[in-house]
Amino acid sequence: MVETERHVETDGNLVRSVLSGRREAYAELVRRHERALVATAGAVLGDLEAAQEAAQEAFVAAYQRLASLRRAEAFGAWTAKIARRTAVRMARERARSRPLEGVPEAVDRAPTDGELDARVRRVLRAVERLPVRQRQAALLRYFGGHRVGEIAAMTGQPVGTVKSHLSRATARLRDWLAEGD
Amino acid sequence: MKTDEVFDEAMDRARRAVESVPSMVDEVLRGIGGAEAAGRRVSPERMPRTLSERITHMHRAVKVAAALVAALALVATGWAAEKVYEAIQGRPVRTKLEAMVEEEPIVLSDGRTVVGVTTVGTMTTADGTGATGVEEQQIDALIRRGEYRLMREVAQANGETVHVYAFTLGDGRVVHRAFATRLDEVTSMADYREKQASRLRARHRAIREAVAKGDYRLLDVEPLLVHLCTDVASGREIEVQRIDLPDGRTIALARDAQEALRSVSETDVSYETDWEAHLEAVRGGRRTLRGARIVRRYTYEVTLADGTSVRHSYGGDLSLDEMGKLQGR
Repeated sequence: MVETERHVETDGNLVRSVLSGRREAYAELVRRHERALVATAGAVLGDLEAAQEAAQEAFVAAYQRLASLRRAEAFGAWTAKIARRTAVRMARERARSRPLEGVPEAVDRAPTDGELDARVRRVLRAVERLPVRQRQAALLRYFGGHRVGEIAAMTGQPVGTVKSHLSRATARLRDWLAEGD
Repeated sequence: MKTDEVFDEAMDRARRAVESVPSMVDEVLRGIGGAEAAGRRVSPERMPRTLSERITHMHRAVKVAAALVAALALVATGWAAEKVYEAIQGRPVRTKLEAMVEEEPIVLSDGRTVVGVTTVGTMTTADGTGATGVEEQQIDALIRRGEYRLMREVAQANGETVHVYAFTLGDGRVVHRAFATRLDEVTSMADYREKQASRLRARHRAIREAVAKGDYRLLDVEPLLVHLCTDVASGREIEVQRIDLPDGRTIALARDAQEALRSVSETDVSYETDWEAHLEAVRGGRRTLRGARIVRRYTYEVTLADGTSVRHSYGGDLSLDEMGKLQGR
């Protein structure tokens, strides 16, 4: 199969564009990272609808604080962190506002509404256990659907580095997921 | 089940679950718009107003890029003005900055980003009248008709040549203007600007690529003194740069402190002829001196990919080597 090259703007450049007044550049950043953020928040909340809400809130919060982002290339990891915090806060609020349902994680039952399948949640939680760079590479590759070259261009890292992170992440995930099987 | 199969199946299931969530781009943009409408401050509006403030707030790597942009802006106007001042033999100079365009950064294979800015401007003698719209139109018409006289060509240290032309306006006044290319190569002012912008972009890109590869050597470092002032009458913040000319005279170059922030500008930037006149304005209370800063001007010889060498100057706090270290080179 022949892969065609396409120009991929770095996240850093898109961040700088947003800061110079081009709000539409933010749409591209959201497009790139929305699935990674949903996966991140989903690992915490165990619910896709809530995860989407958390991711959305995180993107808006990130936009408002964009000027404080110290390394523009780290936009993905930074927003994922915001999404995680948002999700944790939402999980606490939900816990306070309703009684615990007490559904054991290991019980494999059909999910209802946006609630995540326990096996899916286990994968997402495994991804969350990865070191930050490996996690970011895995999120963008497996959930964002981005190719290695694109991830490298987006995050401002060499392709070899991304491959290395991805390879280690995959090996770890493979072990962790096999352990509980 | 084999480990690989377990992994593939689990990842595929998780991927499909996440992919089932519809895109939230529109929702996020609406959320941002709602926050703005509700008066919640967002980052672009929260950005510091001046370039130096912006740079202060940036992370080091970004700061380097911003410093380079600021530096190039300073040099592109200041240094060229100095040369044109010489070119037109001591007559006061007025510059019109036509456009300042931040270039698309070059992303290197190792992920580092090199940025630059291109400024396009025209300069004219300021005989107390300055450039006006009518004057602009007249000069454009004269260029279209080929009615101008080449007065002088001045070689610049960066290898470029400034061409000074004289134009006779409708009221009989003769004005001089400096151009970076010969006018017989262009058909109008718009054509000149377009070609000049394109040429500068290509040149800057070639320089940035060579710098990124490390093909340069330092030739000189000079201090530039900049007074930070407020024009009392207008309340406008200005930066006044001291320029020592080779003939021993000292001139002052004043420009709007906000100028560097504008992406595209039709700003008039006026240049004074005498540093003493600037100090007199401060002493007389017409201009408030708020402080000063020293900017270093670095001059490098850069070897381009085609083997030719050019001079590259910029004003800033860091040398190219120091910038490289900050960016992990």
